[in-house]
Amino acid sequence: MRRLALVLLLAPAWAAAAQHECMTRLPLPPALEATAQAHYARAQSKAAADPAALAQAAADLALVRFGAYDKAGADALSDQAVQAWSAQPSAAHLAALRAAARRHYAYNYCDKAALLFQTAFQMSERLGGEYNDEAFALLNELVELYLGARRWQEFQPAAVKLLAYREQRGLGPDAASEALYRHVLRGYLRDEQYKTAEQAAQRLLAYWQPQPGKGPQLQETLHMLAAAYYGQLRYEEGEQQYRRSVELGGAPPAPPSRGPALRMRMAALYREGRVAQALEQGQAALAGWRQERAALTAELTRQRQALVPGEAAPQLDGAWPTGLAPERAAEVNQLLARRRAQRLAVADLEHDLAELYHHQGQLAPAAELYLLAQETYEQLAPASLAAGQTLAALGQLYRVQGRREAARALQQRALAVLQPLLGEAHPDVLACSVELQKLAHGASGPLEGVERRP
Amino acid sequence: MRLSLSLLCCSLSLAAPALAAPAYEPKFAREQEAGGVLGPSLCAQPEYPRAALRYEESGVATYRFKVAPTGRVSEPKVLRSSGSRTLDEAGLKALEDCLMRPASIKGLPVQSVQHIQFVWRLD
Repeated sequence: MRRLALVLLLAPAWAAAAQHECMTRLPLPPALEATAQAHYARAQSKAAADPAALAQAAADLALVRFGAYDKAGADALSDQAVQAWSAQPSAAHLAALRAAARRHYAYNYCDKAALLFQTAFQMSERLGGEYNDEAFALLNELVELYLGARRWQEFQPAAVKLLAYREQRGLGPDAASEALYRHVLRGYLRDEQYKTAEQAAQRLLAYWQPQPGKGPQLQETLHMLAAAYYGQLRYEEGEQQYRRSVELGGAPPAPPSRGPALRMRMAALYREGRVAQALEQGQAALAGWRQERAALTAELTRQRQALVPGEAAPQLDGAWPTGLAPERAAEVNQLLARRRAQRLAVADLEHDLAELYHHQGQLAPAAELYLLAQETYEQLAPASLAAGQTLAALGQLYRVQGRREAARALQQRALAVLQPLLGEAHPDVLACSVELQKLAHGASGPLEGVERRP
Repeated sequence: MRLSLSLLCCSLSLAAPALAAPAYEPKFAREQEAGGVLGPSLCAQPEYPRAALRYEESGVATYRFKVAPTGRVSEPKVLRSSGSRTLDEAGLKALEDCLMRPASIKGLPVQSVQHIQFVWRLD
C-alpha cells in the first residue's frame, strides 16, 4: 500500500515531461523521504529473495534524494537500480526500467533518466530484436530528452539511430518529426559531415517544398543546404541555394546609395573593358563631389568663425564649443557628420579612380589620387579596409617606380591594417606578404601597370 | 647542322615577344561578396544564462571571429565585453555553432573576419 502511494505520487503527467529542460529540480514533500527510506530498508532485508523489489525501492528513493539536493546519494541509488535490472534482461525488468526512466525524466533527473532509457532501449533490442516497436518508442523518448536538455553530443548518435528506425518503418519527415530532422541536420553540419548533411537537407527540402506557406522553414533548410555545399567547398552550388533563399525572403534589396551605385557602374564598365568611360564617369562625379565638400566646409567654417571668433585658421575637426543651444548644436553636428561622410565618399572615389589609372599604367595621376585618398583615410578612418587597400595599392605602385623603401613601409602599414580585418589567409593579406617578400629579396617582380593600356 | 639548329633557336628567342606584364587589377571592380550570417535562426543569440538572470546582468557584447572558406567559424573573441563574463562566454559558445556564408572574391570563397553583436536585455 505504501509502495503504491509512493508510485502514484511520483507519476505526474508524462506529457509535461517533453516541455522539461532538465534545469529545475522539483522538490518532494519531506515526509516522503521517510516512507521511501523505510521501503528501501525493507527491500534490502529481502534482497536475496526479491532483487527486483530492491531495485524498484532504490529507484524511488533516488528520486526523493534528488529532490532533496542529495545528488551523490541519488546517483548511487539510481545506478544500483539500473545495475540490478540490467543484470537479468526480462520483460518485467524492461517494464520497470521504462517506468523508472519516465519518472526520472518527469522530475528533471535527466542524466539518470537518459541512462535508464538507454539501458531499457538496449534491453528491448536484445529481447525483441532490432527495430521492434518498444525499442522505437524508447528511442523516441531518449531523443526527446536529449533535445530538451540540449545535450547535442548525445543527441546526434541517438537521433541518427532513430532516423534509421523511422527509415525502416518507411517514415520520412512529417509535422511531428520535422524538428528531429532539422536538429540532426544541424548536428551533421556541426560535426562537419557535409556530404551527409547535404543529403539530409535535400530530404527535408523535399518535405517543405510542396507545402504552401512554409517560406521560413524552406528558407532555413535552403540555408542549411547552402552551408553543406560551402563546407564541401562547392561554393557556386552553395550560392545558388543562398540566392534561392533570398528570393524567398521577398523584400527586394534596398537600392544602393550614391557612392556605392557609382562604384558599381564603374566596376561594370571596367569589367566590360570600357575603362575610359569608367574614368570619365568617375572624374565627372569627383568634380561635383569635391564642390559639395567645399560647400560643406565653407558652411562649417562660417559657423566656426561665428562661434570661435578669434581663431586664425578655423579648426573644423577640433573641439567645438560646448553649451550651444540644442538646435544650434544639432545643426553643427549634422553638418560635421555630412562633411565627414562627403570626405570619405570623395576619398573612396579618388581611390577607385587611382586604381583605374594604375591599371592603365598612368602611374603619376594614380599616385596623386592614392595620396589624396590616403590623407583623408589617415584622418578619418586609419584602420579601415579602404585605408589598408589604398596603402597596399600605393606600395605596389612605388615598387614598380623603383621606390623600394617607401613601398616597403607602405606594405608593412597595409599589412598591419588589413590582417586584423581580413585574417591572415585572405588573398589581399597574402598579396601584401608577397609584396614584402619581393621587396626583401630585391626581386623586381612583374612590372604591373607599366604598359600603357587603351 | 648543330650550328644551324642553335642559330635557329637563338633567332627564335630573339624574335619572341617580351612577356606581357600583368596589369594592376583594380580591387574595387572585382566581383566580391562580404559573406555573413546565413540566416538569423542559424546564428541566433543563445538563451539567457540562468546565472546572469539571477544576478540581473545585461549588456551588449561584440565578437570578432574568422570565417573559413568552408563557412566554418573559428577563433571567436570578445571584442567588446557586455560587462558580464557569463554573458560573454555564452555568446562565445553560441558563435561556434553559427552557420556562415563565406566571403568570396571572383566566385572563390576566401577567409574573412566578421563581427557580431549580442544584445542581452532584461525586459
